[in-house]
Amino acid sequence: MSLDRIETAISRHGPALERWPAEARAEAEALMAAEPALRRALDEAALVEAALAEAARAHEPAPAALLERIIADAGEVAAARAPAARPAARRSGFRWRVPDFFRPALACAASALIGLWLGQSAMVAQAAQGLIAEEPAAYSETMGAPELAMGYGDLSEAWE
Amino acid sequence: MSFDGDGDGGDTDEALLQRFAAGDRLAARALTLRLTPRVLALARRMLTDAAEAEDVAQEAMLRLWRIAPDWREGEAKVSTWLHRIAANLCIDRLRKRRRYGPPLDDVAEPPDPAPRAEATVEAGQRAAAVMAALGRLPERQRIAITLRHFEDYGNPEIAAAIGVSVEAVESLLARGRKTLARELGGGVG
Repeated sequence: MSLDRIETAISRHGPALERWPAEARAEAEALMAAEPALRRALDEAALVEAALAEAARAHEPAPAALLERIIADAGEVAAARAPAARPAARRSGFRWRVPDFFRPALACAASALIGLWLGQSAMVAQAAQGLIAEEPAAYSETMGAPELAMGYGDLSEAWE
Repeated sequence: MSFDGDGDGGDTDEALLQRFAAGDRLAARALTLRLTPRVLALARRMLTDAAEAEDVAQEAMLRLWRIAPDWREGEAKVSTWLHRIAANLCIDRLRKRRRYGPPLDDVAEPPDPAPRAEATVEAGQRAAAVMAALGRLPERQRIAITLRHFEDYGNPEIAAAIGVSVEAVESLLARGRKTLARELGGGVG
């Protein structure tokens, strides 16, 4: 195993010889016993790995402006998602589906119908009042109110 | 805005992401404070450009917010997913840089620096020295070392990420390691 092969083996298995596959480890140990320079390649790799591990633990803090931008992005994503959730909730029940362009026409038609109904009701009421004024007896017979009042009158007498 | 403490109540990243997906914006804040520094550090190592690194960190986090409603618990770790996204974004940017500059393989690698006189560096300064040395490595060596030593990628994953063979990754790692060892004063070559 040459220095190049040791370097490749370190790239593959790391600088800790005890973690190498048994066959590769045995070969490397035999060669290092004969040529100490090969062991120095392992020592060098271990030094670099330790230094990189130390660097990995130390990170600089993120700038506050960046954190603010990221939090603002989260808010925008959440806000963009929110309207999509509401129609989904409505879909569960029965719902009339009216095309948007037809809605104003529908509103006008509804108003006209209500107006017509109110007008008609007023005319009927007026006609009825006219009838009552002309024939009070007819009202009493039709509605039955005087009979009811008399009935109650009888009952109150019984309580006494 | 104060960024003291993330106020996450000890929730896992996955739990916080689910809370964010359910409409809890405080969970987004907690995740931002927890995850951004490491993502930013990864981008800084790979790109060696502070402004570009911030862009990558922001884009990676944005993708996290967007994926939140579809996140399935137990499929992956949020931090692992996020770092993969960030690493890929960095590699895309490096490829774009290359498109507008000389091809990477035509760029001569800097000569091996002479071993530094200082064999030992104070512990507090070592991390900074490592980062500076890493930043001076040729691009592909830097990416290979970063993904292997900071992101726990295996060699085949690095090969797939940067589009080279596994043998080429092993060679990049070996060369990068030797240069770093010399830069840090412990070289033997």
